Parts: sequence; structure tokens; C-alpha cells
Amino acid sequence: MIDAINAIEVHGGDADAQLAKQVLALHDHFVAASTRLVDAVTIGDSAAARRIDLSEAGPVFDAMRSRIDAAGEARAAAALAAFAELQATARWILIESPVIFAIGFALLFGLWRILERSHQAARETYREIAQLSKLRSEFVSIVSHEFRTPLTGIQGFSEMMRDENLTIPEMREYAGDINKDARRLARLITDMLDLDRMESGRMTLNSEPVDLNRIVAETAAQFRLSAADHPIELDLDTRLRDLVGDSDRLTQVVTNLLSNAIKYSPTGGPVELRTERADKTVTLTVTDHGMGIAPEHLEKIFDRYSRLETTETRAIQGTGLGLPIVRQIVQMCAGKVWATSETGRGSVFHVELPLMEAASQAPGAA
Amino acid sequence: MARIVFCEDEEQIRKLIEAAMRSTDHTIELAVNGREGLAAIERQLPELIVTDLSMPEMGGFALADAVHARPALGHIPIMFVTASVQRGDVARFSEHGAAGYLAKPFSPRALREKIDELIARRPGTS
Repeated sequence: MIDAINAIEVHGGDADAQLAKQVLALHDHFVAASTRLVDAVTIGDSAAARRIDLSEAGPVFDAMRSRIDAAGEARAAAALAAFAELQATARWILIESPVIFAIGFALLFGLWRILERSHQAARETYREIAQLSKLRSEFVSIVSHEFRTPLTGIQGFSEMMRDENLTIPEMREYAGDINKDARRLARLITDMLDLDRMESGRMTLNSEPVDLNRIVAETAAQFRLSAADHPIELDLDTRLRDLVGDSDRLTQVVTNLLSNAIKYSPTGGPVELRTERADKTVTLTVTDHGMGIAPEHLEKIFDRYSRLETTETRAIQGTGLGLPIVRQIVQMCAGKVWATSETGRGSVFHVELPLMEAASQAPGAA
Repeated sequence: MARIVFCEDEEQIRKLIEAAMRSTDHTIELAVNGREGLAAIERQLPELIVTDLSMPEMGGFALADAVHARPALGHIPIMFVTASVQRGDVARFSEHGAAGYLAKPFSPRALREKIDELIARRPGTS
């Protein structure tokens, strides 16, 4: 027993050592009690036998049992706790870690998407700025060319008038040339400002009764004076009544289209102007028999300065802003404009406006 | 006295050139683009070519290259007259074998002086 207790003392922990000491004390107590018992029996001393007291053994045994039970319970609890810990780890590895991993991945992915998007936005902005910068330098280059050409005439002819011995008819002729170039400059500036105001939405249209047929006829009459080589033929729809619109701007549309039709038929040839009233629309078509427009340019001609991009038209004087202005006005009127063409045979410009007839003209009309 | 071929697509500027050269004793021919200019150059064998840069059908650089590619014409000095003289343009003028250039707007006197200078500078005239 002593050996076992010593073994407990050597191998066990503090609690075991305590228990071992109590067992040892009990053992000593038993030895002493049993010695006294033997003595009493041998000597016959009943009083001594009565003095043998085993009452201490009960509580010590109880304490031992409860301590042993407690140690077992503690061990079992520790094992259970270890098992629970193991289970928790396994659960974390099997269930929670994928969830955490997925959440982390989602967060990273989200972050990556945000970065990617902001990067893309930055690239987009950069591209836009680069495009604007390119447009700006193209614009400056074109405007510079468009301004320098009439300025060359103004400077050159005026210098000759100042420095050279000219006859009166020569003087008159050069003054006429200067005037022509000055007008060209003025037209260029007006067109640029008009287009700028339209594009930035700073121009508003009047709403007044407008007789489109009359505008077409008057514009044609003006051009007949300046472009005698081109017979201008009219085919006006008599069903067309006053529209609601801006008379000046519609005149600008007709003027620009007619001017283009004449300019781009350099060898002469008739130009036809036609109006037609349909159920919901009114259409104006301007047809020429000139050089025509290549299919790839049919859309582009409505862009600013696109005129300069087609080499065959460079000899024809213009600001390159006529058609962009037409498109802006037509769009402001909720209409549309487009061109059809056969290269070498001529072009047709179509303007389609919503039919908004002026109410004041209604009496008597069917 | 020299023969000069001018290439210019703007009518007003052709008219100005014609007026500016009226007081000189040079013989001039005006073409509306590089293609017509090249035909005139081959026909005239001028002492000087004066050309605009951006013209329909054949521009100034293409004309200069075509002239230099022809052995019979390669020696003729070429002057560019252009509305845009920007950075890098002058280097490009030399690449296309320009003897000189003039920027628009130009004064008629400057045009005449530049022409006289280039004609005087030709090989074999000094």
C-alpha cells in the first residue's frame, strides 16, 4: 500500500499527493488502533478496547471516495472538454471556416470590383479627355485654316491697294474681294456662335405660325439671283397650312440645304425643292444632281467640319457648319434630317418635321 | 524672268497671287490642285513651284514627292504656302524637299520677295 501511495505521490498531481497523505494518515491510524485492539484483547482491558475509536475512518473514506469521484469526474470532464474542443475545431474547419473564407473572398471580390470600376471610370475619363483634347486641337487647326484663308485675301488685297499704283477699276475689284472675304469671316463666326448656342442648349426657338411653302419659295427666289446656272424647281404641297415653328431658323434650314445643293453641283444642273404634308409629318426634300456623297460619309456630313475630311469637296467654299446647324435646328423641332445619295449622280436631303399646324388658320379649312 | 507654277485650291487666293504677280515679269500658271499642277509642271518645266499644302485630289506634299520622283523635274525648287505652320511642320517641309515656305496670311510683297530669292538661289544662276 505504501508503495502504491508513493507511486501516486511520484506520478500524480497535487490533488493525488494530498489524497495519498490522507490515506497514509489513515493507514497509521489503523495500525495504531489495531495495535491497541490486540493489546486490549490480549491484556483483557475492556476499557482500552472501548477506547478504540474508528469513527475517523468513515469521514476519511467518504472524503477519499468523493475525491476519487471528483478526480474521475474532473478527468471525464476534461476529456469531454477536450473532445468538445476538438469537435469545435472540426466544426470550424468544416463549416465556419468555409463561411468565413467565402465572406472574406466576397469582401475581396467586392473590393476588387470597386477598384476595377473606379479604374475603368478613370480610364474612361482619361479617354474622354484625350478625345476632347484631340477634338480641340482639330478644331483649332480647322478654324485656324478657315480664318487664315479669308484673312490672306483681306491682308493681300488691302496691301496692294495701299502700296501699288492701281487703276480705279482695280481698286474697286480688290475692295470687292476684301468685302467678300470679310463676309466669309463674318459668316464663319456667326455660324460658329449659332452652333455653339444650339449645342449648349442656349438657343430657344420661337413658336409662331410659319408658312413653309413661302419660306421655300422666297429662299429659292434669292438663290436664283446668285446661282443662275442652276434652275431651281419647286414642287410644293398645297395642302400644307401654317405650321407652328421658328420662321428664321426654318429659313436657315432651307438656305443651308439649298446652298449646299448648289455648291456641290459645280457643273450646274437643276436643284429641286419639294414639300409634302402627311398625316403626322411634313417633309422637305432638296435634290441635286451633283457629285453625290459616298455611303460612308452620309452620316458624317452632319458633323462639324466634316466637309474638310473629304478631299474632293475642299475646293468648294463653306464654313463646314451648314449641315451641323441644319441638324441642330431640325432636332430642336423634334424632327429628323438625313441624306441619301448615289455617288456621281446627286444627293437628296430629307427633313421630316412633326406636323403641328397653327390653330389660327383653321377656319374654313377641311 | 522665270516660269512659275502655282497650285492653290482657294479661288480668292489664286486671284490674289495672280494680282500680286502682275507687277513682275514672271510667267505664271495657276492650278487648282496637285494633280493639275503636276500636269502643268511637266508641260512647262518651270523654274519654281509654289504650292498650297491641303488641296483636293493631290496635296502639296504628294505633289512635291511626285516632282522629286521624276528625274526631269527633281531639280525644280518647291515653296510651300500654307495656312497652318505649326510645330513640326517646318521639319516636314524639309523632308519633302522644300526650298522655302510662306505662311498664310502673307503679304503680296513677301510672296514676290521670297519667289525672287528662291529663283536667284537656283543652281546655275549665281
